[in-house]
Amino acid sequence: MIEYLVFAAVFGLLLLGLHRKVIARIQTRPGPPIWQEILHALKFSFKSTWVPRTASATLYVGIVLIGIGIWSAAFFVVFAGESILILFAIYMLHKVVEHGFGLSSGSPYGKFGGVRSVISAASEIPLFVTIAAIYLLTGSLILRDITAYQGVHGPLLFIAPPFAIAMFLVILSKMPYGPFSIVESKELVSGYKTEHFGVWRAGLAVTEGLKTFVLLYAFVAIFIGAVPFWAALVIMTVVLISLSFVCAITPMLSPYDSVTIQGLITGLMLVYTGYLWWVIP
Amino acid sequence: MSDIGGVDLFVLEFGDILHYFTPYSLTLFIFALIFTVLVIVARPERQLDIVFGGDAYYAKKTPISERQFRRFMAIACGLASMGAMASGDIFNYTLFVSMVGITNVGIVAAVKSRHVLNAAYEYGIVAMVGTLPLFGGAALILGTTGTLSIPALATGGYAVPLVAKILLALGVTGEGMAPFYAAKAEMFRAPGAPYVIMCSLSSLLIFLRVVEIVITI
Amino acid sequence: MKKKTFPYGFAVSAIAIIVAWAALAAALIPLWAAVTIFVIAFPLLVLFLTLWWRAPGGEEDIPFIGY
Repeated sequence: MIEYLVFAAVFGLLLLGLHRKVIARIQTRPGPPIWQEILHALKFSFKSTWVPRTASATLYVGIVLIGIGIWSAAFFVVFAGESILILFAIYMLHKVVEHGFGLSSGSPYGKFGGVRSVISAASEIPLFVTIAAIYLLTGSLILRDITAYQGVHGPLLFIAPPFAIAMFLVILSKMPYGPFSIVESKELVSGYKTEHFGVWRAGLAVTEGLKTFVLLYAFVAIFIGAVPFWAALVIMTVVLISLSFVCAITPMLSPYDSVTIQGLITGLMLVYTGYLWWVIP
Repeated sequence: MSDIGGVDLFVLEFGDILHYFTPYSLTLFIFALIFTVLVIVARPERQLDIVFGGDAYYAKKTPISERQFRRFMAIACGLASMGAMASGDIFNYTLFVSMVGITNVGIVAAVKSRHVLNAAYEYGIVAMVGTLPLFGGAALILGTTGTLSIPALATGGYAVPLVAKILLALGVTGEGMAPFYAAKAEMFRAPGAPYVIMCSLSSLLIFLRVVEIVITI
Repeated sequence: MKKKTFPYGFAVSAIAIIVAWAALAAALIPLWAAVTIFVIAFPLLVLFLTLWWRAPGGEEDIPFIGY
């Protein structure tokens, strides 16, 4: 099990490196090497490190541990085919972790990154509509049952494509350099990550790697169904490249526009769920 | 009952009221517990702020008396969210949720800043208004089905009106601070990271739990 | 925490993970127990390892406030 966890962290970082590479190539730049994010994590881990004088030291360090811990837990939840409600709870609680990263140092940049992270909670609401609709269709929220349902009826991607798009947008809102990544936009230096440097940033990189892997793997498991592990990795890479295309060709939205657009998507999803609820007896 | 949060791990019976943990509610409970411990052991940070119109900056300090009160409120908030996670009864759940609302106001209202107090006052009004749909939803469920036990309602045979579910969710959104006030910069003038995080954490937790309840019953 | 304690912390978390992994492979403990140990020990392993091999030096200062 632990070997899968380490693999997930490394592969997630590799996917993030590929993300940067694809964006760069679309924008006709050479771009960094694909393993750049792994190198970044290692580089940060070797740097000399301390806790800022103004920081709340316990929270400042503890939040790094919590960040890695919750995504390890999310990985095992998806891997064991447990309830996807737990996965999405962890996804939402990641907001609190980002908020904690931002506030714990006392830096104004970190603080605003954390505040933006909380206001972009609007991006989570499509997620709950998606969950409700999956429950409506399959009658269960246990990942094993959803996979079994897809074994009989075919992938959910073809049964209810709007929900796949909604989850795609949810993952998009967590990708760096995307239209919704207001939490780390450049006017805030690095957003909530600003004051976590050195070893703490290396821990954050592990969190990011695990998060990317878990979200993409969950997308494959929920909308494609049971596939061999290597095939899942291939499909994840394809999904990631499609995300990179979106990130490369869209500008970053301003915080309120970002929330408005996510709200509109939620409205559309609600209408579609209402329609399904009407049609399914 | 339909096990959307996983198979029951633990059940404690009080007559027809069952308090239970599914993997889902246990995850939420542990999260509330971790942050309550952090509130107890962590000291507030000193928030840096730039003097308006100049290059100078200063670090805000949290006075001891204010820190003690906000820590007390934050611990109470953590306990209330843990209670809301563990409860298997809708009325207990709504009581814990309204307590989360009260303690959230307390966490913010202890800061002696006009802007923060203004935000706390407005939030207090929303929380107060939010109790109406919250308890109204619970009352409607009791009136139509005769029970408030979540496992009993989940076994089926009861027609829980959709409007009661919507009222319950609306009430929880009103009590939780995050959806309404996170966008207000006034609230974040308050230093004291562990306590402010407890506000957003408890709001998210009660919201996550009501999603489970509404789908289950 | 002193720098001397980091290798011990790393060793403890690594041993915990290896023992849990071996016990799971030998079916001595259920899956949830092993996963709980992994989830607690893995973050500690990462932080203790990197705190151990990081470069020395540096002293605490105030956060970045602008150029």
